Amino acid sequence: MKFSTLVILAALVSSAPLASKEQAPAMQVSYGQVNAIEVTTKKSAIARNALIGSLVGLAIDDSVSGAVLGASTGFIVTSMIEADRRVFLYTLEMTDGDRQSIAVERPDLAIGHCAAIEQKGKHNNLRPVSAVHCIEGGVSGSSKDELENHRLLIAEKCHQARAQLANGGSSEEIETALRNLRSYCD
Amino acid sequence: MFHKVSVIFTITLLVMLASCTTSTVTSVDGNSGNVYVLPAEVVDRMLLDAMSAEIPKGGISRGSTPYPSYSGDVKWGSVDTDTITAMARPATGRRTDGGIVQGFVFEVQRHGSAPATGSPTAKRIHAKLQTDAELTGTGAAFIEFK
Repeated sequence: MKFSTLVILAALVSSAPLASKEQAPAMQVSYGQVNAIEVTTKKSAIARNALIGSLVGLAIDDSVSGAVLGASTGFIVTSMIEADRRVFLYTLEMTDGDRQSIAVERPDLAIGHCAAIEQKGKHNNLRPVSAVHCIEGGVSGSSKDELENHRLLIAEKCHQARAQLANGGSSEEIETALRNLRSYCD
Repeated sequence: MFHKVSVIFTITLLVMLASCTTSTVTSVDGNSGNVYVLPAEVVDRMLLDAMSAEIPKGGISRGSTPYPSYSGDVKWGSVDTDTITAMARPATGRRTDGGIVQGFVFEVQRHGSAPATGSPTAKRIHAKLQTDAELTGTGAAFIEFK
């Protein structure tokens, strides 16, 4: 084996742990007020996908989750919209002034509701939350930190429950994960 | 006399058979709907949880299908009974990125002479399964049953 090949192999091996660390993004929670709801379908969502630059198809890839977050108008796919069933496209006015659209199958949010978008890699979740998160100065000081930590903890538990269920496990692990899924993801 | 009894018996049997109906609540309709990409042991547990919420655990038995399923009876009055079967049928789906995946479709079937009880029960069980499945965020577009 040539020396250069060995060097390349060594570099690949040494960079592997770094790469795996980079693939585990932190949970991010952002808040916004629902200001538009559109009932749509698979076909409509796909058409929209073309209009906004293929983000629908790419959003499930970890590598673009940051790009979606950073975009002034993101379009996130949770669960599954590629079916001729009704999906609800919520547009949120985020607290930082941005707008984000998220397509989900839950129909229970209304215009004016405050909601959290939780994102970690492929995991996306839309969750109705208290209006204090959407009011400027609604929460401040240590209360704000506590609330933020609380929301992050819930979002992380939801993420862990989903990951556990996707991978299976022992009967006890599945039971616990299902319980956490119902508690923390809804 | 014997002829009369057998005629009455036959008529009664026919009426009973005719009153038995079957219906299925499913998350796929035609060629649309969702396949949930979850391990068999997970959907098995989801089925049992959903059934247990409607039928006493002692009355639930594992189905005879090669895929995860559970059955149990519900009654209407003292005679009419519906058998409820919740199942996770293996199916092929397509993710948003075009990738083909294998997963399960949840269906709840009722069969018997008590649709007044069986039908809403089947719908509630299916709704529970659907809610759980949606929370997992593992849906893919239905292509076909395996």
